Amino acid sequence: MIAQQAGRTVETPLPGSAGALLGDTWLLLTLRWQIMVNKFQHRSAGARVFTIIGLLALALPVGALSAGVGFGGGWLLRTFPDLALEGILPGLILTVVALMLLITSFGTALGSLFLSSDLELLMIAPVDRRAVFLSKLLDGVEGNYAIIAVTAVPALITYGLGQGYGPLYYVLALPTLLGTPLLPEGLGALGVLLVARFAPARRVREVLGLAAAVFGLSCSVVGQTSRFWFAPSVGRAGARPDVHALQIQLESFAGLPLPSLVAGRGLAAAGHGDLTGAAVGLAGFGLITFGFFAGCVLVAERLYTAGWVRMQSSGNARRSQARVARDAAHVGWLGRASVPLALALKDWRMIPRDLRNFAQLLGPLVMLPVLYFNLLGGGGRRALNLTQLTGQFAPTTLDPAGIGIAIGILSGAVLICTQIAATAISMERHSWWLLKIAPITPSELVRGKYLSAWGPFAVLSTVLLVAATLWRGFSPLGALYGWFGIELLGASILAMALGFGMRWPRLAWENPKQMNSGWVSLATLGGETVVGLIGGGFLCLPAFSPPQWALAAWIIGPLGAIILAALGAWGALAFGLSHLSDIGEA
Amino acid sequence: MYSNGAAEGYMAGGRPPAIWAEGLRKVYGAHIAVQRVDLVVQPGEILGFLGPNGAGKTTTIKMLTGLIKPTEGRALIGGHDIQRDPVAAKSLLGYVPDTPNLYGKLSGWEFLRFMGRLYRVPTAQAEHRAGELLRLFDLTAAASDLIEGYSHGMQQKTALAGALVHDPKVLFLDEPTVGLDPKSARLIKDLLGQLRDQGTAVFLSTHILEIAERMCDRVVIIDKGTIIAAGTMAELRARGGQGSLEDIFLNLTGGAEYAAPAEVSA
Repeated sequence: MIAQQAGRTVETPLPGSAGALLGDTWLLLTLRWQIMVNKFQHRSAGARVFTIIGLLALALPVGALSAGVGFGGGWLLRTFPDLALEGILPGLILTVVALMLLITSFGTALGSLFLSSDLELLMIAPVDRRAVFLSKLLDGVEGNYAIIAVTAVPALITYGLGQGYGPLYYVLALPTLLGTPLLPEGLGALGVLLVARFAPARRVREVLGLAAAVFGLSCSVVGQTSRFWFAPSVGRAGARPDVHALQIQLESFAGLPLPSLVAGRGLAAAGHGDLTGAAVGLAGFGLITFGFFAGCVLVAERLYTAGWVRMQSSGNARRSQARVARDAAHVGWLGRASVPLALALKDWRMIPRDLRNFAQLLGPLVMLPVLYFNLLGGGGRRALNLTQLTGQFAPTTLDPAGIGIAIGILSGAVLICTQIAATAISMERHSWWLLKIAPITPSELVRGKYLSAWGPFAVLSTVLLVAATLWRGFSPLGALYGWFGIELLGASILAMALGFGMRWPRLAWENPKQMNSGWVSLATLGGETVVGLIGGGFLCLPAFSPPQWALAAWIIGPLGAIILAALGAWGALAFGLSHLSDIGEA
Repeated sequence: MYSNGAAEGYMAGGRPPAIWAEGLRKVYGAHIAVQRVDLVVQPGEILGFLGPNGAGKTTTIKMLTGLIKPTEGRALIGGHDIQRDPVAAKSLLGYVPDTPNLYGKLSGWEFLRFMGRLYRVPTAQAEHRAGELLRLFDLTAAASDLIEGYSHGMQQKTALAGALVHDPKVLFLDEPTVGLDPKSARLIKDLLGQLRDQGTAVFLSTHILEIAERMCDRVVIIDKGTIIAAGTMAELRARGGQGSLEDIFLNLTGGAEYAAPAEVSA
């Protein structure tokens, strides 16, 4: 097609042709890369340096670990040639990386295909919609290649060097690695396209955030407690791993028609100069990967357009008149509350409704098994058994097991609720103006925000302590003292988190993970450590003091803890309040 | 343009003006967003605040409502300094920004109840008022749904309902008709008239000059952070030439110079 543009004649590919598709895709991709470059260049020099240092700090250890895996795997196979697993390892490396990419691909595809802010602009632009889909599908491709560069490349290189593979191995590894992200991205996109036909994309994103948190939590809990589940079989004296059984399992896995395993076999053949084996393996890989990806692009136009159109009209179509009438008649607490309570009630409704936000609260639960099993000596051989440790020194005034449980309850409840306190202002996001313009005093705002974090803390910690008291049969006085200590230190730590959260809020975020400012986390951790250790030490004075000092310890201990907790809370809140009026100024 | 003396004269009159601003200035680094703004708006008056994009309209509104601190100058709402006595000043005002940015995870009912509590409206009064506003803005059927599911126009109307729950004495509207259907836009125009009759001062920033011409008692035009014209339509015509407000606006802001070439090239 010949077109006139600004007085000159240019040749453009026919709309709908492969040339137009590739041209439009390239245009959209270069636009995105330009935005990325601009974002980086418009950061301050310090922020750029920190970004580079942070990336290197992340990439170097992972790269070193990957290189170690490749080298160690090669050494193992050379040391035990009877295993005959040489051709499997490259495939295993590629499969692990492909699985990592697959896990992240659904979320990435959801964000780029349906939740990008530029979708409306692109969907009405005179570009091939398949190009929009393709460019959005390749949105996270740089990130995926970065993951491959850090996790797969060092392992494959060290493995190849260790096995003495020839240059063909390295030459063919390059297109294999370039093709590796395509299948996970295609699968993620297909999943998103199918889900978007049934559910609004934003709700899917929230559910996905919660699912990721629950998955991470489950993995962590299983990992932390694995020694208890596997102890009976693995821990037997004299038991040796069955290498032959392991080899059979690996061989049967390697026989699966996964493209990454097929490619791995091809690469191993290339390492030995076996051209036929290399051609068969890599051709199979290319056929499956590129074929599937091309299939995705071909079916995308209809599915993507349908999903996008659905998202545009994803209002609340089904409205119940009965529900409307009920809500109108039911004033509820929110309609009667004082200003601080109304602020807290508002937060308590909003946090669980945004599942991604709610998932943030689940993160700290990862620590709970560590605390309980390690602190209380739940059976691990190397665990710190606080009950035994303190029992050696402490007189019987306070139950050492009770102290350990109190520490566990305080830590668990604080870990969850500091998240609410530290992000109390940040969670307001673009709606901060509503509070800033309202006739409320800074004191009311702080009380409301404090209540929204302290309320769940008080309930959670009290319930846990009551359960522990019933379970372990603590004395009422001991339980009361423990409750006092937990509430005192917890209240102070939450106040500190709120104060620091007011000083360094982040109102501009897309993902709730971005609500957390590094300074808030650092300052809160410091405050927690100081108040927790020193305040906890004060509270434990009666347990460790000689009998003749018992009365003094019972006075100085709680009093010292109260003074420290009050100072910590007051200092951080005053610090935060002094900057409250600056929030949202820019 | 209002001089300081005129402003002082309004203050000395006994009844405080709804909005009084003197020497408002806002500087961001080397960029002067608002140079010097003096304003007086009386109760029951609708003031149209006009200006080209980037002229400093929203920055001025944000300084008047206490959302940002002025670099210099001060603003009073109902006689209360917005910076020194913010609670008293803010209790008198309502604000609807150009982009609503409400709490997406609250329902319409919950949002209005929350606003009622923030502005300390007695429960029964807030309930009655919220129900009335939901009906007025045709939001009753959607009131139990989360705001994030509302269209832009519905969110704009919800923001307006939230700003009216406490019956403000001063209402700031920043482009209130953007995204509204003709019926809702007409509703807002009617509402402005009712508010004026009730003695509410309305500070209306808009690009729709027809609304400003028809609804506003006075018009202030700001350009490059400085007020370049202010007065009734008759006073503006005397200064900016005969014709519609659009002609006057373009004459004063230099837009007329661009209009002719644009027509030729189109």
